[in-house]
Amino acid sequence: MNLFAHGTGHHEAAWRLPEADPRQTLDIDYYRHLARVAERGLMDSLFVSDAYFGRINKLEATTLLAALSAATERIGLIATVGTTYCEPYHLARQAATLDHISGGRAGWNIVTGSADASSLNFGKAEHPEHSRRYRIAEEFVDAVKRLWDGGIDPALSGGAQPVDGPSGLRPDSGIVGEAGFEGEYYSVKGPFNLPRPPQGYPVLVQAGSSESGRAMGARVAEVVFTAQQTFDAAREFYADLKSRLPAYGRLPEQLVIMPGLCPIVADTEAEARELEAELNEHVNMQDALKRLSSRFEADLSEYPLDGPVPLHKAKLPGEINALRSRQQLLLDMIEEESLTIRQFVRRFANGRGHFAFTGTAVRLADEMEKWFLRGAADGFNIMPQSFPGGLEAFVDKVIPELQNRKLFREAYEGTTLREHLGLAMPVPRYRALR
Amino acid sequence: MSAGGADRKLILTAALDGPDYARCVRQAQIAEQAGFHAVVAPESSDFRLGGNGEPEAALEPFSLLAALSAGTASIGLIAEVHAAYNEPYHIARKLGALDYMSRGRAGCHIAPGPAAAAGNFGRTGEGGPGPRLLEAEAAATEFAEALRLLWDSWEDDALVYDKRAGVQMDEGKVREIDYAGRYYAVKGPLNIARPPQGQPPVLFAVTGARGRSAAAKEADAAVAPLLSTAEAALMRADMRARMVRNGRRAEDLRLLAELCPVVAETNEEARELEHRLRQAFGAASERLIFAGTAAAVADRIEAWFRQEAIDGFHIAPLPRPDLLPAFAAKVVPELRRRGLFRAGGETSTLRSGLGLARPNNVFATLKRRGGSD
Repeated sequence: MNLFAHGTGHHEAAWRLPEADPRQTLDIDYYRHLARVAERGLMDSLFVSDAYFGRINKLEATTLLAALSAATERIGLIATVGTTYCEPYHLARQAATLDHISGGRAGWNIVTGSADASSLNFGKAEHPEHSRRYRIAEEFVDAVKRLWDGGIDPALSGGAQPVDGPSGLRPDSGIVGEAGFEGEYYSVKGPFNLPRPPQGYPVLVQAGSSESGRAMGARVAEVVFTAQQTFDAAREFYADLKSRLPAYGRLPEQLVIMPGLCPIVADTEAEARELEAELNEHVNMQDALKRLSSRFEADLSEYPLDGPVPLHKAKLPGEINALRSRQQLLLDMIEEESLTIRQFVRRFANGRGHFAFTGTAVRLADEMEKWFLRGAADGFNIMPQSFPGGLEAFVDKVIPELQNRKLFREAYEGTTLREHLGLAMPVPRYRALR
Repeated sequence: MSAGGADRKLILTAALDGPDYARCVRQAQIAEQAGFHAVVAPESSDFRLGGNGEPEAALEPFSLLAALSAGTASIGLIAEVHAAYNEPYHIARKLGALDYMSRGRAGCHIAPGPAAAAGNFGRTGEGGPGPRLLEAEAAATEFAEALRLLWDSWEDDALVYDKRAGVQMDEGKVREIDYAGRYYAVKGPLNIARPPQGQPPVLFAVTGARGRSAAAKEADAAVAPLLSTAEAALMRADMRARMVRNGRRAEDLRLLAELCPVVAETNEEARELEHRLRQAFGAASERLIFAGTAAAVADRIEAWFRQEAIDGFHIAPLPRPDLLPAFAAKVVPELRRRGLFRAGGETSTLRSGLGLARPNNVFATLKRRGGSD
């Protein structure tokens, strides 16, 4: 079970609730509280997204999670870092540092970056095209693993041995290895300059559900976050992704699939509906229409709010250079549910296309149990509509219900994120060769 | 704090070192309890062996300092940045985050970065070091300039959070900066609001003339490897002249001398330690070492400080783990008794601790002067 910490909540209007204080989203005490509530709920990890463009106002992911590592003891910490504008050597050091200071609780969510606008913040004329971005990302991950594999092993250290040769070090001494990575895009000499991370590799997470995303997920990811609207779609995705693993010599249990879940939970159905209605009241219709219009060859504000979404004007997933799988999901949802524009805006506001649930804890536990036992999920990426209230409600009402059903742990059993998730330590290639 | 006057107090900063997190936590706590202004987390962009044959490694500085921000309350947190291998957009965001999370205690030390690390940041098909390495000081200057503009891309009051109207920000107060330099280009705006300090302080190391020129343009503080008070006086005069030529006030730069203090019970013992230290450092790198009893070390610090060429000292990484605690426990109280060092326990931003004003937002200033946007 992962907590996705995000601003004042995953409902886009959460910041307008009377109890919300949006200025807190730059305050470490706010995140500390969320992390401690999640840890009280025995959740596996806390995850934050990141982006390299725009006017969103947020704390950079690796720095935030490093600060949270000092305020927590058991919960895993998964930072998003995009590969397109980062360096393998930097990422290897950032994630290894988080793993060291947290005692083996780090994860890295590998993204390729969703916005064309990012390139201009790094002096690049254009954002690489979708499938090329994934090729770059896969190579990036390979280079990073080579670096981690060659990290200084404190268990074997008696001082690295300087020898003759291009690196001045003996890679087969078991102490440091040159990365010597030379790919189509990156050339990373190494060696790595930190001790090998306590988890071997921080847990590798991936969140793209397009064809390129699934292919990369099957090859490198140990956790996959995904947006799925229905049980059937989630089950199809789950089966598809797990069926791709044998091609890479991997077993089903080496990949944990966690669909996003946006819960609005209360003691009665009526109270939960009320909370949902209050959030929907606060949606800024004009802004939302402007944002959603970028997915169409049309300005949605020129159409009647209670009329149908002009599906024939929608851009095809292949026509946009980002979040392709999400576009397909939204179009399917509009078509299957014959949504009006107003309904579509509200559905999107409520978790941006992830599975949203409004109701009692018992009913939500029923739904989660069904997904978990019937091949649609190994766990969930919990995306409360509003913080901290939505998270507290989930931890205090839903987690005990899941524990009663023996579906969720009663206490942390391990100390590392790998142990929480039941993922084995990777075997370093240098040692495997000896 | 101004450059002169009876109120003048020493500035002290200390380097963190090693890949051991627990050791860094202890160093930061010792420095904070002693009343130091800041700790500096070094960057390492490649693998290298130290004089003792052990790998010289440092944790990634921003992650380290973010974790340290949780266990400390008043000390400044300065991250070293290798400009040649980084992007201003990434670093401006990390410093912004660290500044918010530490409530105004973030800073950065911009260094060019070692040429030997180039192989770790290669692009297949690109040969040789790029201009960011070949013209390192000019690149570092641009890097600092881009950081300031990125932080200023949000005016201090850009966020309005008008719940009733559903408006989060005043879009007119968040700008693209369209920075296009010779070494870095970044369009902006940044995706975090202007940091609590406005612009977290920027330190430069000054060695050669090009380093001085860069610091005179962009630095809030400069760290120099000085070996004598005469050298310090020349450096200060040169920096003053360069700052004035750049249209800056000479007193807007703090000059720190890099120092290895070796404190022992007796002067003989200290001199023995100093001898071993100089051997370990090697003849190639001469260092400023003050060795002696606490009183003797304080005497030398006082003599340097009273000359008014420098504003304080940066304690370099020390080869023995007991040297920083000894300095903190014995020399710092002596400096305080002499009225040379602040009382300790002060909570302020790093900037105000260094006696530097919070800078105006360059875009907001332009707008006011122009009468319009």
